[in-house]
Amino acid sequence: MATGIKDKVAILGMGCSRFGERWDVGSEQLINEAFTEALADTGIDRSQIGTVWFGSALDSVNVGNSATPLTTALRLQGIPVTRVENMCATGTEALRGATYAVASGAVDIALAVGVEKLKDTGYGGLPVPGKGTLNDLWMPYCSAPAGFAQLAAGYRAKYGIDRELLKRALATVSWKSHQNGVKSPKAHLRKAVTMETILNAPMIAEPLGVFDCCSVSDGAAVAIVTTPEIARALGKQDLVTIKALQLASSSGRESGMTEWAGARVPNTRMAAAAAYKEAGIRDPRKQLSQIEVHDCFSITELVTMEDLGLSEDGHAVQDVLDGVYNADGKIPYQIDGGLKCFGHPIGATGLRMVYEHYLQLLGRAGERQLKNPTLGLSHNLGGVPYNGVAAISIVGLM
Amino acid sequence: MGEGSHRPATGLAKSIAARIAETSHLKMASFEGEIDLEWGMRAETDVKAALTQHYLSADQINAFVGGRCKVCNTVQFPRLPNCVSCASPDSQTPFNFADELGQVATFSADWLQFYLAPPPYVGLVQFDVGSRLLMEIVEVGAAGIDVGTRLSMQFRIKARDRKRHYSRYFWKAVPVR
Repeated sequence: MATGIKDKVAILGMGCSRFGERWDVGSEQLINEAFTEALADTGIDRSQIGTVWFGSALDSVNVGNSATPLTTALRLQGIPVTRVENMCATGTEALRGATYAVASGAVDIALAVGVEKLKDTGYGGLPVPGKGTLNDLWMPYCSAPAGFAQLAAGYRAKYGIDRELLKRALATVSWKSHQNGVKSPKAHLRKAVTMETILNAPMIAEPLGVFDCCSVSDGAAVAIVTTPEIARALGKQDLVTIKALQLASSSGRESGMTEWAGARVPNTRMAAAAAYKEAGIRDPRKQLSQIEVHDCFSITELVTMEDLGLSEDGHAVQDVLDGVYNADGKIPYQIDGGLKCFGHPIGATGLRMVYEHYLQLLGRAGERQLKNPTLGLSHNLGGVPYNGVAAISIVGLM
Repeated sequence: MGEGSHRPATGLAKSIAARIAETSHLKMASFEGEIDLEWGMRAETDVKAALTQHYLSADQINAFVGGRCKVCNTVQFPRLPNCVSCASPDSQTPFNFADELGQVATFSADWLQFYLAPPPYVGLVQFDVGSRLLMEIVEVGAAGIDVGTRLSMQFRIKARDRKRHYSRYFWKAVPVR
């Protein structure tokens, strides 16, 4: 009988590079920047690391495939290292692998690393990936924002929401993240912007303008995990443990059948239900202290508020306009700026989110520190709303 | 009509009647390949087709033949071994979508993606027979589209592989005006 992952694995240390346009370094230095911080946080020697799960999403334009870019960057000789890729959920997948390795008893200490060096691709936005030999013959060439923008059409149609009202709510989502990003020293975009700037920005994919889209960044993030017993033996007092790690993939129902209204992401709902059960969360609105969602686009964040059960279906627009998710609101979202402003180096993002929870839970978040947080939820969405993967991790104080 | 010939689905007269006027000579010249424009990095994407895959799935790509599940009767595209609805294995019999009508379920105008006549419109087409497919929606024109706009299917160029001088085709959705 499976018992889940709750409190079986503790975070021994974490690190995160500065995100942004890192013309000054390569991916190896980004990895090293995050790893050095994490290792210092743990107090262990690097020789104590038993295994590594390494996440990078776009191998052809990033660091290359396989485990060797990581082992070469950190000069890790002869230990098992696995490279994982699951689109934008890649960082969380690295954490999931490392966590399961420790929970299984196979190793005492595991390292999870995520990295992406997107600015060197030269693209504004993401490159256009192949979808497989059959899909490439029929599937439209479609940018990531156009994939997610379709949620806006579906959402408006389902709830009868005026186009301008939805546009204003989406702008408020981004406005809030820019406000938060100012207080994140490692964030890519650290500048507050006005609602007028957001609303009048050039269109990228209708109805999403430039400011409805997250930043495309360089960055790396790292977690080193172990058992709570070993963490205590190493002198850790306040333990942040993994409460849940869940993932849900689409089978093609949303894009192949007629039941999906295009106003939500079913995978997120399935992953959230499983994660709440694993973590023992009955009332997420009251129990979760902070949320980091996959705000690749403003509409994604808005529907995710409903998919996580934090806003009632069809009420997220009003909740956003009422400031429920602002830093001083009832449920702070993207307190570090989120993908929108902290940045979105794909392979690192899931780990970056947990890094923010880790800092907040240990009272290390500086001027953006929340008051007495106890549980943090991270959410990734890989692919597109109608065919992708949703990953959720929940961490908290033990 | 001679033996073995097919009446055009649309025909020249109807195609001309459904035309969208373009008054920019520069655009027209670019459509015809008479001027060489700088399209940016997104135009550099290699659209090379796997010809063996194209041969394998010729009826799906050329004739828009998807599948109908022998177990639950759900129609679907593409035609894969396991049914999208009931997951029954090896359950698909051919079902032709070419003459089916549908409507817009979701859509966006994509100003980021490379396209000769931007913006390309993409969206989930909901077929009246009870199926969905992500498709390119063309000939949108000034009238625009919204959720519920009626659509019919037309066989169009999917991609031009300029490196290998090979154009390939698939089906696109066109608003029913």
